[in-house]
Amino acid sequence: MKNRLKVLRAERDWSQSDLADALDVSRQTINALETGKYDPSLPLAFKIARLFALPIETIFEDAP
Amino acid sequence: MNDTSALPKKGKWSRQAKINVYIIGSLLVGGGMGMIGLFLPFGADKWPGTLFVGLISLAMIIGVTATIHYTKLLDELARNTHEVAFYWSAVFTFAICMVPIAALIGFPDFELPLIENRWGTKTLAFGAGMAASLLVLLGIYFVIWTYLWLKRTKV
Repeated sequence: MKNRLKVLRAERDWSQSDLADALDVSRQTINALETGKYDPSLPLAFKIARLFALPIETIFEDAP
Repeated sequence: MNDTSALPKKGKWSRQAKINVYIIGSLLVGGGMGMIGLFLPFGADKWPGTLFVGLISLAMIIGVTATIHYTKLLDELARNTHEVAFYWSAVFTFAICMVPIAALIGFPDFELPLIENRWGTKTLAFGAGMAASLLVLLGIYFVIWTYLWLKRTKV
């Protein structure tokens, strides 16, 4: 699954640690999400969408 | 664009700080209890004393409780990684432990020289210990699996 997390974070000038603290996850989790090595659970995906005030489908894209 | 104001305020203790304190605390407490556990059997009679058995039981309860608490502190990636690692470690443990058990069933005189000579443990006792551990592991696995399966598939 592809996502725009890195771009959205960069637009806001947030560090990975800032985002990790805001989502109550580790910085390693943010890194794994951004590099596409880990797909978040639905609750975490919704949390990310709420934080960026965007619909989930504009952040995450189902890619084969 | 600098929109850091939109970020929620940071708590006093980060998740990682809590986990670090927890791990160091657990090691210190566990180490302390382990030292007591090592020294208590010295000078004991044939059977372990009540204090020793009591402390071992207490250590088990604390260990399980601490693990539950530690798991709750983990975020989903760390928890998922632990779950997958434990799953595959159990699979490989089963596979490896089946070697001496199967050998002993097929050949009662089978011996593992390293264990017999260096540790002074009979291969049969070693195999029995492995079999008992595997049975406990398998038993607890089925209890947890059944509980989760029934909980998740209940209409």
